[in-house]
Amino acid sequence: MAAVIQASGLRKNFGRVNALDGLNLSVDAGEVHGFLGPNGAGKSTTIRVLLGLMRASGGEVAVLGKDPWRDAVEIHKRLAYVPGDVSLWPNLSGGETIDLLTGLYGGADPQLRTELIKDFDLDPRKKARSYSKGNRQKVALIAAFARRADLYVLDEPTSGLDPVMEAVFTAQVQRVKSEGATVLLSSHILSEVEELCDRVTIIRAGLAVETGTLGDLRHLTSNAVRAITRAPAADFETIPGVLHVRRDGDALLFDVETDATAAALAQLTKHPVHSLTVTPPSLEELFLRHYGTES
Amino acid sequence: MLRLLLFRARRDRIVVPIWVAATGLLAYAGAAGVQTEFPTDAGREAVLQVAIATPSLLALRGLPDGGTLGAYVYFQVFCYVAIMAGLMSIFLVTRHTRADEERGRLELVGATPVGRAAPLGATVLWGLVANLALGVLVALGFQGGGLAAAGSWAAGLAAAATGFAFVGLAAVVAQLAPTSRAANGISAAIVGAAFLLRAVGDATGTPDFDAITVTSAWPSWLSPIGWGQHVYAFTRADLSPLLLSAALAVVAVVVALVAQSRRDVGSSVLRERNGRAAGGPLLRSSLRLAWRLQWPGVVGWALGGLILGSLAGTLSGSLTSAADLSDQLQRVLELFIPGGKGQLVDLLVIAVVGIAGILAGAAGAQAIMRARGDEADGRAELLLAAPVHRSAWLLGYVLVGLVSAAAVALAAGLGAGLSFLGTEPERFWSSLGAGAAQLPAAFAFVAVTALVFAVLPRATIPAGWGLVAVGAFVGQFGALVQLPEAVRDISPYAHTPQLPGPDPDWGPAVVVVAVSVVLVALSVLALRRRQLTT
Ligand SMILES: Nc1ncnc2c1ncn2[C@@H]1O[C@H](COP(=O)(O)OP(=O)(O)OP(=O)(O)O)[C@@H](O)[C@H]1O
Ligand SMILES: [Mg+2]
Repeated sequence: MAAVIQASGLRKNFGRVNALDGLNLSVDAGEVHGFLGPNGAGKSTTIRVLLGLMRASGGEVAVLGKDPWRDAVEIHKRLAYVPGDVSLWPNLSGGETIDLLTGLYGGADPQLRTELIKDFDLDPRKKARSYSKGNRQKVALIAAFARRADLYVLDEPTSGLDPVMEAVFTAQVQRVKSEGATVLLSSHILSEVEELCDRVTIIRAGLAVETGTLGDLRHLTSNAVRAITRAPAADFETIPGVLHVRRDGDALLFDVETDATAAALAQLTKHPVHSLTVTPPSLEELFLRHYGTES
Repeated sequence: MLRLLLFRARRDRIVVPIWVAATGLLAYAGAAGVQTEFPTDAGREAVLQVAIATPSLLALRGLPDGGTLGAYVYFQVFCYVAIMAGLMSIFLVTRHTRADEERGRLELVGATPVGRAAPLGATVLWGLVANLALGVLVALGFQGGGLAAAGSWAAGLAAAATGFAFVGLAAVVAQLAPTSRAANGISAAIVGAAFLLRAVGDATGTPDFDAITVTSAWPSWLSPIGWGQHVYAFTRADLSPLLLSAALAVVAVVVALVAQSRRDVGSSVLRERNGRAAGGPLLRSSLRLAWRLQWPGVVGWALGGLILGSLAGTLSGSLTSAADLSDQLQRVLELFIPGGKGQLVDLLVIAVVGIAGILAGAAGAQAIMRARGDEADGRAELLLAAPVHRSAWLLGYVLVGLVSAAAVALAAGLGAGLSFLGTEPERFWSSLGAGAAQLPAAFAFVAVTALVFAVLPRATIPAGWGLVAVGAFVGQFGALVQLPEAVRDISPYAHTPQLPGPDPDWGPAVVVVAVSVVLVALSVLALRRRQLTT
């Protein structure tokens, strides 16, 4: 499948700060791609480069097959964007803002617009000045989803939304996906990522540290094993890929890397085993591992 | 409270010193300029006689009180010093009250253990400190320019008291207005009204028998600027009118404090109405957005232009329109009216509409500043992530700037034209022409601001206002403070065709327009190369 976003070795520096330091990112057509990383990792900067709002200091980048700096307007015709920090014109009403933003792309689908305003429970008559943070976010989301685009670029779109609105948002992402669109979703909300994303890219300090499906990512890490058995701990410590072996009463506990699972199980079955649980790492653990400074 | 006061001083550590220094410089330049141009009492008295015989000139300057050096300087520059103090004060107050509230910063402070009135109290105190500093600099400026020490300090005190009265008024306005923009607009209109009231009062005043002093009519007494003038710092040095300024300030501050302590954070007396639920077909492009954002301000600027322009006909009654001027009077008039030649009424129209030309330049430059505001606050990202060319985005604002400038300048021309309908209807079209003649210079300010925006985005707003202020100063006071011709020619206003008049010269104006077009083209090229900068 053709890549909708293809960046390799992307670099961007602000003075002496290297916000992006050789980032690779590839988003396939029709997928919802999660874009994760700790604060200041460079997610918003990447997105601004992809939109042609900033010029990369180095590296290759193509969006919808075009150079975002040179062909920005061509790309933008097929794209919808929700910025991370939505700031609106204080004296325009929400409805006016939605019509302005969709009007720039040729207009909203009137039916979608009405439905979205209802689903997101927005009062479109209020001036943007008097909207709360969540309501400003809703205005940008409605403007983005009220017309059909090929690529949706969403930078932390649900920060500030309540759980009910998050559900509305999730439904919208699923709708545009079913219509064949591609979504790049930067997010800190792991349940959202787990529910929506086909693949994720995790970046840290301007560099992609991991990319793949959530299953792939889990595969790269270790599972936690807990067995009620008399097998001596020392037998396991020697197996490569088995870590943190310890005893807790009847229970034997250890972590095992995916590749070492077979060897560890073989060793276990040499003794009677009364009960066995194997737990994959939670998403939080997975990310904390990637976000942390040690790696 | 002290902490809040220091915090305000820290936030304003650049902008307030600029206002204070510029005002001090105005005082110094005024005093020094008069001294070299008219070194003798007799020379100054001759000028005053002309001015008193043509009271509309008094509207542009002040109240004559004899030909001594200090009195003459006070007559020439005090009103402008007072306007500076007033504008500094209102922007300062709005910045630390309604603007903070609008941005939610007041909530941050309000959540800390300070009293509800403390932020407003600290703002008023900071306004007092800033005005006292301004007064000191004005006093030093006059003294440095060669005027008597006692009078200089009385003048400084008058400036400070006038500014402080506007601090109080702006504090009340900030309570009433729903937004900082509205607050600044209303307060600026109050400063303008104070200037106009005293202009009318001075122009319709009664000359005393010696014909070099004038007793103002009652409208001057309705204006804080008028009170300051009546101090006559270098002759009578009567400080009692300043009691009026102080009383007004105290009453206004008390009203504002009471209002503040009774209302919720974020609320206002003047309510903001709900908007429309849909944008309609008129709000579908960045150009229309620019216009939508700009027009309410333009209406205000244009109304100001209309009122200003209508002064021309109102004040012209006293002029002898027939006589051409002798050389000596001509030279005197040039000091009042930049580049003025020809009939007195023509000169009056040129002078009045010329001031509106400054408003037009400011209104035009402000359109470009809106583009910068959108960029700095992150709204431009929403626009430029849509299929909108950067060049179209900027050119939209340039166009809106030109339309705004035209609206203001033509409104002034129209006001002037209408005000002549009863007396000299044939002046209608030439007055409109005087408005149109302001457009090349206003275009130049739009273009220069656009270039700054494209090349040094962060400097757009200070540079935009600063350039208009410098252009206005050089245009209005260049002759008075004896700037060399070459320096004066830098100001686009120096090339405004002198309309109405016998031979308006459009040549230089055409050059100004051509240069402006080139600057706009350069700024489009530069903007296409730069990335968004917050
Ligand atoms: N305009 C700028 N000038 C200077 N430095 C910048 C600029 N924009 C971003 N940076 C720096 O680049 C780095 C990446 O910032 P970016 O906003 O892309 O992070 P992010 O991943 O979006 O973080 P968050 O999760 O907090 O939104 C940060 O160190 C930031 O300070
Ligand atoms: Mg971000």
